[in-house]
Amino acid sequence: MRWRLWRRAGASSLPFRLGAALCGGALVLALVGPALLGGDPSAQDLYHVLQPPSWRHPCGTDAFGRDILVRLVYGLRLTLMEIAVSLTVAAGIGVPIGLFAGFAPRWVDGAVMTISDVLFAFPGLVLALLVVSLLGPGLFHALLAIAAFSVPVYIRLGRTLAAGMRHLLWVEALTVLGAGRTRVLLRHVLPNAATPLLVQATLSGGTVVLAAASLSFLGLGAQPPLPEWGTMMSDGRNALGAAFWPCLFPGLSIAVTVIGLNCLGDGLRERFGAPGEDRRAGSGGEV
Amino acid sequence: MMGFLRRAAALPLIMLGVSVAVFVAIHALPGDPARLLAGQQAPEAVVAALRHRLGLDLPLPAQYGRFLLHALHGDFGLSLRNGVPVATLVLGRLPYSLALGGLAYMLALLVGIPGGIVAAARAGSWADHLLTGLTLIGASLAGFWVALLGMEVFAVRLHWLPLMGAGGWRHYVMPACVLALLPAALILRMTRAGLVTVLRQDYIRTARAKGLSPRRVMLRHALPNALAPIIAVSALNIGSLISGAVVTETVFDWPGVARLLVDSVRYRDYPVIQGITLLSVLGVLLATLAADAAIALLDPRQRRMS
Amino acid sequence: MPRPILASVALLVPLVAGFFPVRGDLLHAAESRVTELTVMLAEPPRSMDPADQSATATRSVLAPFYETLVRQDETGALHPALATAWTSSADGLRWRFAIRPGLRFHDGTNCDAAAVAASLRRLIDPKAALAGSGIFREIISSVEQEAGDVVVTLRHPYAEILPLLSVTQAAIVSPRAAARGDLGRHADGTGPFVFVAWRQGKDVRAARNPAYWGPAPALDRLRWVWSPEPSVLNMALQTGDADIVDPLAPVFARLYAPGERGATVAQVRRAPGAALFWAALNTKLPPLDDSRVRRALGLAIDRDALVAGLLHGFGRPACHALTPDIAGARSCAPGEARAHLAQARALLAEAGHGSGFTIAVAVQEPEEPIAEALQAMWRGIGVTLEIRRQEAGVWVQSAFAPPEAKRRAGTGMIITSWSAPFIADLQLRPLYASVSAAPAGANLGFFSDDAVDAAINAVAEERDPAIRRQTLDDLQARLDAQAPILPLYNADTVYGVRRGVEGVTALRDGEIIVAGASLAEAALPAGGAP
Repeated sequence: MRWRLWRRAGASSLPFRLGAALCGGALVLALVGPALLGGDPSAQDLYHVLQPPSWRHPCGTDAFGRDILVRLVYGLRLTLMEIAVSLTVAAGIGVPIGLFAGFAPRWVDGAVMTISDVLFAFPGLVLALLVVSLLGPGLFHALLAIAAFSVPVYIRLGRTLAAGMRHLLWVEALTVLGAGRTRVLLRHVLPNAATPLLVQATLSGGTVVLAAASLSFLGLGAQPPLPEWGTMMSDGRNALGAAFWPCLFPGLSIAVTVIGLNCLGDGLRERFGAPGEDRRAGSGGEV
Repeated sequence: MMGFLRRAAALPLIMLGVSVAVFVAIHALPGDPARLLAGQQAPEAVVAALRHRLGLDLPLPAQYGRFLLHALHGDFGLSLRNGVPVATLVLGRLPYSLALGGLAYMLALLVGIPGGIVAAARAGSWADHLLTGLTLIGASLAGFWVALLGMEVFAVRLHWLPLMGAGGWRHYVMPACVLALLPAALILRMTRAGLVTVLRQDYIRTARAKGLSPRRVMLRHALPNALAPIIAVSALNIGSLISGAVVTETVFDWPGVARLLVDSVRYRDYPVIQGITLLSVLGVLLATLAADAAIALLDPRQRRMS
Repeated sequence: MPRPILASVALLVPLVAGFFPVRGDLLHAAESRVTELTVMLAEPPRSMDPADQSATATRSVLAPFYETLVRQDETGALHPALATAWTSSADGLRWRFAIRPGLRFHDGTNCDAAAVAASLRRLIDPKAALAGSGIFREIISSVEQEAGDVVVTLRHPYAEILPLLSVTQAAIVSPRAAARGDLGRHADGTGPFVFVAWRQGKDVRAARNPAYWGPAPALDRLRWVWSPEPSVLNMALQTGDADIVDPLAPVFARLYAPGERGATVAQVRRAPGAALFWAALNTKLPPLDDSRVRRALGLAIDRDALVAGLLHGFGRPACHALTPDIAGARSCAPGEARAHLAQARALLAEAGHGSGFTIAVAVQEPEEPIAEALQAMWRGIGVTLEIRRQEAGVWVQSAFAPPEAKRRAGTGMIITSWSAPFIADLQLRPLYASVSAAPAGANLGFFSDDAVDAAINAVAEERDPAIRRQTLDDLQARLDAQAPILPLYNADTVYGVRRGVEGVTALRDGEIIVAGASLAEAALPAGGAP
C-alpha cells in the first residue's frame, strides 16, 4: 500500500512537471528569444552606465550601459551550450573509464580509482588554471576545466554501473558466448546505463553554471563581450552596494535554470530509479 | 580488512607519485615567479638576478630533488614571496580553515539529516516539497552572491554580525552558513533519497508489521542503513574543503588555506602551492580510507565482502 | 547506543575538534582608550623590505616604518628627511648628503652615515638581487661614507636623482636587520611607527615610535587589513571595519555624496593620480607595424567616454605619453579626447586597411573593462578586437614574450597601467626606449626609434628646465606621430575616510600617508566587531 503511494508521488510529481516546463521554456526562449527581442547585446553607452530598471531597460543597464535583459536572452543559448558541452565531455571521458575499471582486474580497478581520487583532491583552482593556461583562455577551454573536475564523479558512476552488471546473468552469458569485453561494454552495458546517466547529468547540470560563474570570478571564464551569465553576475558584483541589478538578474536567471534542471533530474530519477549508489553525485562542480 | 590495510600501506608510494605529478603540473603553469614578484617595471636584469636568488634557474630535476628533500624534512621549503617556511604558513592558516569547514559541515549535517528524515517520512507532502524546493534554491545560488548579500544586510544595514575577518564566534556565522549551503542541500537530498529507498524494503515492512512506532522504525531501523552514503559525502568533503572554500574565504577575508592558495597561485609561489596541494591530496585519500572503514563498520554486507 | 551511531560520532570527532576556539584577538580586547587607525587595502603587502617590492599598496604600508634621504610631499616639492642638506658636483655626478645626527633605527642601532651608505649599497648590490632595485643599479655606481656625509656617485648625470631617492625602494633600512635576512617579514627603519606584527592573511600592526626624531604622531597604533573585493572595501568603510579604504571604487562615490546615508559616516577623497593606463601596440605585427594604423586606432578612442563610464569621472583623459603633472607634459587639447572616427577611417583607408582587421589584446582582469570598451569603439572603424582576459601569471608570460612568440600567439596589443612617481625618465625609458624592448623591459610593443632613444637620454641628463621642456615637447610630438603606445587615461587616487579621521594625505604616486593622521574627539565609534 505504502509502496504504491510513494511510487505515485514520484510519477506525478510536481517537481518533474515544473522542471520540464522550465527547461522546455528555456529551450524555446534560447531558440527564438534573440530574434523576438531584437537589440544588440554589446551596444554600449559609456555616458549612461548602470541605469536602474525602467520601462526602456526592464533589468537596467550594466557597467558599460548595455541592456541587461537583452544580454540575458542572448546569453541563454550560451548557458545551455555550456551545460551540454561540459557534461558531454565529462561523461564522455569519465563513464568509459569507470566502466572499464568496473570490468577490469582488481589491481587495475584500484589504480584507476586512486588516480580518480587524486584528481578529485587536486585543488580545483590549480586544475582549472592548468587546463586553461595549457590550452589558452576562452569559454570552451573553461568548460573543459569544469569537465575535468567532474570526470571523477562520472568515473565513480561508470564503475558503480559496471560493478552492478558484471555479475548479471546475461552479461556473463555474453562473455561465455565469446563476445569481446569491449563489445560487451559498448553494445550491451552502455545502453543500459543510459537512464541513470541522463539523471545524473541533469542533476549536475546546475553545478556547471555555478562552476562557470566561479571560474569567471577568478578571471578565467568566457571572453568579452559574450553575455555569459556567470561572467555577467561576477562582473556585476563589483557594483553591489551601489547598483543591485547587474548582479541580481543574472543571478536569478541562473537560479531558475538550475532549479529547472534539478527538478527535471529529480523527476527523472523518481520515474526511472536512482542512478546507482553514487556518493559523490552533485559535488563535482565545486571549484 | 586486508584490502584496507593494503591501501593504507600503499599510501606513501602513492604520495610519492602524486608529488611528481604535482611538481610537474605546477611548474607547467605559465608565468615566471621572479617577474611576478619584481613587477612589470623591473628590467630583465633584475628579474634574472631574482630568479637566480630563488633557485629558479636550476634544472627542473634539481628543483624537484630540493623540493623532495624539504618535503621529507616536513617544512616544504620557503615561500618565494617572503621567505617564511611553507609549513609555518600553512599550519598557521589550517586551524581557521578546519574550524570554518568543520562548523559548516556540522551545520550541513544538522540541517540536512533531520530535514531529510522529515522529507522522507512525509514523502510527497507539502513539507517534502517545501524542503526539496529549499534545497534546490540553496544549491542554485552562487556562493559569492549569497555572501555579499548577507554582508550588506547583516553587517552594513542591521549591524548584527561583523563584516569580515576572523575573531569571535560571531565572525563564524556568515561564512559558515554560506559554506554550508551546498553541502546542506546535498545531504538533505541524499538522506531523503536513501531513506525512501530503505523504507521500501521488506524488513521495514516487517518491523512495521510488528507494531513498532513509525518513529522507532525510522530512527532505529531505517536511518542507520541510510547513513553510510551521508558519512561518505561528509568525509570526502573534508578533503575538498580547501578548494571548496576559495570563494567564501576570499569574500569574507578569512585567513584560511584557500586564500593562501589563491594568493600563492597568483604569484606562482611554487613551494606554497605544492605544500597545499599535497596536503589536500593526502587529506582526501585519508578521508576516503576513513569513510570506507566507517561504511564497512556500518554495513555488515560490505564487511563480509572484504 | 547502536554501533552505527557510535561510528558516525567517531567520524564527527575530527570535525568538531577542528572547531576549536582559534586564538582570540588578544590585542583587540583590552584598552579602548588607545587610538588605532585601520586602513583597508586591495591587496596584502608583498614584503616588509622596501627594496624588495614594487607595488603601490605595499608602499602605503611601508611608509610609516621607513624614511628616505629626501622626502616628496603631496605637491611634489622636496624636503629634507634623513638628509638635512645636499650638494652636487658641477658635472652632476657626485651628490653629497649630510645625514641628520642622532638618528636611531627601531632595533636600537644608530642610523649614521655608515648605516645609510650600507643601506644604499645593499640596494645596488647585484648579489642581493632585490626586486625593486632596477633603476638604481643602472644609475648609481657607488655609495661611500665620508665623515658624517654620504656621497652618491652616478654613472651618468641624472636630472631627477633627488625625486628618485625619495621613492620607497630607496628607503634606509637597518643594516643589522638586513644582514639577519628577515627584513622581508619584519620592517626595521627609522620612521614614526614601529613594526609590531605581520600576521599572514590577517593584518599588519604598527605602534608609535617613542624615539622618533620628528614630530610625534598623534595615533598610538596603525593596522592594515585587505580585501580584493571592491564592494567589500565599500562595506568596510560603512561599517567602520576600516577607517580608511584605499582604493574606493569610483562607482561607490555617490553613496557618500552630501545628503546620502554614507555622507554621515565617511567621505570620499580624490587626488590626481600617477597611474597612467595605456595600450601598447605590437609594432612588429602587421598591420600594426604601420604608424598610420596605430594612429587611426588612437583617433577612434573616445577617452572622455572611458573616463565617464569606467572611472565615473574620477580621472583625466590621457592623449600624450607623459602624465600631465610632469613638467613639460602635454595635456589633451579641447576636443582631442573625443573620438575622431572620420579621420581614423581615412587613415586606415590610406594605409590600405579600409575594410578593417582583427587584433588580439592580452589583458588582466582589473584592466579588462578598458578592452571591452575599446572593442565597442573600434567596431565603428571596422576593427575587431579579440579580448584575451588572462590570469596574472599567464598575462605576464604573454605580455613579456619576445617578438617571435608574440607573433605566433597573434598578440597585437597589451593593456596595462604604469605608475611612475612623476619622473619623466621613469615614464619614458622603460616604455619607449629600444633597449627596453620585451623581454628586457616594459617596451611591450618592441618600439624602436633612434630619435626617440636619443631624446630619452638627453632628457635624463639635462638639468636646464627650458631645454628639458623643449626636448620633452619634441619627444611627445614624435611619439604622437608614431603612436607605439595609446595613452588612455590617468586614474585619480580615490580613497574613503571615516568622519573624524584627519590628516590623511595621498602622495602623487597613489601612496596614502597615514602617519600624520589623528582621530577627532567626535570620531564615530567603530561600528564593526565589538
